[in-house]
Amino acid sequence: MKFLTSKQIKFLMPWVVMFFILIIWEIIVRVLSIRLFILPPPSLIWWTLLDYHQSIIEHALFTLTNTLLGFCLGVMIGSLLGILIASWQMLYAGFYPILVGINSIPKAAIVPILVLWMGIGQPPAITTAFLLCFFPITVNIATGLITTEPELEDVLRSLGASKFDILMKIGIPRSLPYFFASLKIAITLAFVGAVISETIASNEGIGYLMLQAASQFRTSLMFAGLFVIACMCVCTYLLFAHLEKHFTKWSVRKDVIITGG
Amino acid sequence: MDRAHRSSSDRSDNSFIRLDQVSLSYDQTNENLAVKQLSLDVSKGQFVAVVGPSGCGKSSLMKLLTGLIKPTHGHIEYAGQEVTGPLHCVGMAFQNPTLLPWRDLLGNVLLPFEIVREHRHKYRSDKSAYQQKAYHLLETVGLSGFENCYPWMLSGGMQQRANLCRSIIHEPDLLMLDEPFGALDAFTREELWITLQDLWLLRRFTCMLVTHDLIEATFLSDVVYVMSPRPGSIYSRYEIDLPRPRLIENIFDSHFTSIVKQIRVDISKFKMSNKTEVKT
Repeated sequence: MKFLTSKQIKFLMPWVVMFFILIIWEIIVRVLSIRLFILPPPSLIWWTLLDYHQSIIEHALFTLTNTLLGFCLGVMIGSLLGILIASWQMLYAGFYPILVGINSIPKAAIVPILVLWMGIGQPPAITTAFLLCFFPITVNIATGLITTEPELEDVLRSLGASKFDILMKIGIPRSLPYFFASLKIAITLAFVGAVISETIASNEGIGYLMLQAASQFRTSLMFAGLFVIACMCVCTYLLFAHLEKHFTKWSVRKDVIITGG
Repeated sequence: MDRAHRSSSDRSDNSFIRLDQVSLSYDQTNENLAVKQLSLDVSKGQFVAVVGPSGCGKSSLMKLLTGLIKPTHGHIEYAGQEVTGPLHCVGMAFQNPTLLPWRDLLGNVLLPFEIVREHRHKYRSDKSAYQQKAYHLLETVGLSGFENCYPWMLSGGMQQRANLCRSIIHEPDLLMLDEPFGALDAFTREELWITLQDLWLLRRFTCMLVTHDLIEATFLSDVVYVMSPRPGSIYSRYEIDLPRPRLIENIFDSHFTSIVKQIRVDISKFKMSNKTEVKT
């Protein structure tokens, strides 16, 4: 007998998998009697989460704010840069190697410099989040714009279209699917950036909370912090996945043929 | 049928488009020419076809004419004025329908009104009048009922019809077609020949059709130009004096086939000369 449709099962699958992993984890910790400060069982992490929820929420909101601010900067500057380097070949030639270079620098190594310039706390966290997340946005926007069919451009140019017209009518709509795909990557990277910076130089945020917990061997609190970051990450990711679906329906073609011949 | 190497002295005064000894090289040197000393006249309202072996510079000719690329040598005149940049109100259609996948057919067909200078402001204030035009045009090519379909929902032939609509909706003075029916099956192609002829008889725009298909060229046009292999120039010119409207049955008439044969002979000459070149 079938109680659930395959769609419902699909929806439940991640929860089922997570549940089993947690059960196995719990069993291993208990059977092997691993010490709590090495690997706490999920049940203990859960209780820690509840006990410290007030301060965890505070720190989580701090991290979330930094991440989102850095992400917004990344979207604005990243898109602008993408449009610029896609529109002028010279800019592309000049900027692309530098962007790749900037992207390959380990961001943890930059935080001390940022602290030197901006002090600790929010400013370096926002900047690190921004630095980590703008690159995929730039590359994706540029890719979307550069791969426009030259014939379509010819059609528009012979109608008297300016470069701006072509950008607005073809370039931007065409690169929207690329843009949304990059947003999903960028938001997770922004979280990584914010937490890295908080770990190194901050008195607030999940990164700081984890560092504090580590220095006191409160491993369960560290895992609680990890859990909260992961949750925020998944939620924002899902939000952008949903937006992508909504705005770029046309790029997902279904096998519906209205008519043939 | 007159076969003539036209020179610049041989110009008629009522020509709408005139190419005068035009050469083009893509690397800005005088070697490796894509088009060499090409001269050509098209009068207003004429339907002209350009045929030739592949790689003879037919598409370059199109881009030259519309001002999308500048000639290395020679002059191009459009409506009595030298072409210095892209023309402003030309219709264009390619083999690939290039419809915008994020717009439905109606939105695709209306695109020129959002761009062309004389329409774009009026379009914003009076959308419904323009939409009526689009509905009407889509109906004439047999696409009524599909206005709100997205391109991927339609067959290649229907997409190409919509593409044709997009290229003439703004009533351009000049329509450029670059093998628009090349990717379609034979039956759909014939249907679209009729559609295009009907539209042309109705509106009498000046039209240049670039094609590989000699029957298509002969069926649709008033004048057929045969281009020589690269570097391309005009090799011969055929006036097609068949009465209009022409019917698909006519392509089996002896007069029709004799014209096609003659053009065919010209083109096979190039192949022969190519082969001898390879041998020597």
